[in-house]
Amino acid sequence: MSLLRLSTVYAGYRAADVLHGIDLHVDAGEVVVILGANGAGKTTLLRAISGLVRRRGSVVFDGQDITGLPAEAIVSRGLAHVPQGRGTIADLTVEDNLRAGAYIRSDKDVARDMGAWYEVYPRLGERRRQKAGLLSGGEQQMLAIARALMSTPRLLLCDEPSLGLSPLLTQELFGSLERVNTELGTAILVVEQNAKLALRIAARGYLLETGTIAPSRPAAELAGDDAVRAAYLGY
Amino acid sequence: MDLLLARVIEGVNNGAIYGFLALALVCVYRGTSHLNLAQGEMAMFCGFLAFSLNQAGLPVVAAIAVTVLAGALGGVLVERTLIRPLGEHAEYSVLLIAVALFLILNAGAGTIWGGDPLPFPSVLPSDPEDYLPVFGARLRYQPLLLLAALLTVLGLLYALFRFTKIGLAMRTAASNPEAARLLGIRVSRINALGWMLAAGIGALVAPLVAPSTTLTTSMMFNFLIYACAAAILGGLDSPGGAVLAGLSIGVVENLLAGYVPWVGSDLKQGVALVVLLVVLMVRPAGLFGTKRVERV
Repeated sequence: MSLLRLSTVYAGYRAADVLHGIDLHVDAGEVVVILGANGAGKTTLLRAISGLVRRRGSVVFDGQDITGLPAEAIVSRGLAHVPQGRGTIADLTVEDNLRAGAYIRSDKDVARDMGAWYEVYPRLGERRRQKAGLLSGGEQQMLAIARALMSTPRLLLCDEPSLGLSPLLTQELFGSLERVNTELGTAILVVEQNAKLALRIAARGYLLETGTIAPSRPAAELAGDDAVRAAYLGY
Repeated sequence: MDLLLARVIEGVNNGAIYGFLALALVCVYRGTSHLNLAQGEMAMFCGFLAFSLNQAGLPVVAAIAVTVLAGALGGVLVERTLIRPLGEHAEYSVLLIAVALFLILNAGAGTIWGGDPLPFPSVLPSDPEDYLPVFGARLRYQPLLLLAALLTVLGLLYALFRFTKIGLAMRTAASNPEAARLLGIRVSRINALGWMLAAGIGALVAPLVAPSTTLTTSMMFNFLIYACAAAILGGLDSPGGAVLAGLSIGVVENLLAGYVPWVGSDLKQGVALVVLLVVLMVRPAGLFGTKRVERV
């Protein structure tokens, strides 16, 4: 059984739907990438899954229908969302960001897990008392991911994590997402515009075009498809 | 020298009132960026409530305590029934609601308790001979109590924000409401909590101020103008900044009125606001406000 399954999901803002009947699934422990051009509805899709925008149809996570739940009730089910761009809580220190990430937890291991992230990302450890807004773009993205993982999710939604990062940092970022997947077993659904690296760590990929989605194809097949390469991979 | 000290003390006494109300304004503003113009009237109404409780036989301290609880509940009620249904990004609607609330509470208090000033008993002795002499100046007990209450509330707020999980949630929601929701923080409850704190603080101010101003429906009007100025000067999201700004405005205004002949007591409010304007031109985020720290 899939960890996440969307069946004919419609979603959007006020009057207009942006998504028109999305079918999609992510299995436990799997990395799935969604490719799409600007304005295709990638961000809306993730926001519809995590409950930030209203949706119709059916969103089933871990066997339970979460279509009607608001965002703040969904994270405790094991679904974390790293929003696009300024996902960090700029006025809070790095440490408080991580602590806020563990808001739904009441166990004793929060401090230990924070320490573990400082080991994974030493830069965050060095700057733990600084306001998150003062970190570089790459550090903020690392922090946003670490913060989301503090809630110990089973599925991580990542919205264009490479946005605004240098090629080197992007590579590093996808390396750490891959480690998160293999070491923690967290499933990842990542949305990307430049998707070469994303396809490398993903098992499957979907193409999202103006609010509709085609059945998934293996990542290797997508990476080798000339039309996909021309449209999304830029070479 | 004695006169200077006396003027500073009087300035601090007034400034504590400004700072107290400013603290209440900040509690609401932090979460929702709404400046609650009805804050003063909410406090005034609570002052009358405390008066009635006292008249009904409750000792004055107990009456104040009950009023603070009632005020806090009232704050939640206002947020849930009047503010929350307007949804997000409803700045102008909320402004209108605040003005409406202002008028309703003002007229309501006038209808219930009448238009004449009512005497309110002080918590500490306030006869002319009750004071602490300090270098020839007089420190009176009730203003000292107000200042102590202000600093205590400020300390409690600081501890709440700094050391508790709910405080962390409040800071998170204030900084980035959407990210907060994604972490499981119920932002709408946090906003209701902000209103609760603000209304409770207002309900504490009015009965402590009332012995010197007497209870009238217009008792908070001037104070609210200063409190808005103090909240803005302090940066709108900084409790400590609001209190310090309130105290500073009180002292500066009183010194200006005392030492600049053409200012006197008629112009002191205007001059204080001009000083505020000048400070904001130099520091638009206020003295202690969070400068949006964002690197792109």
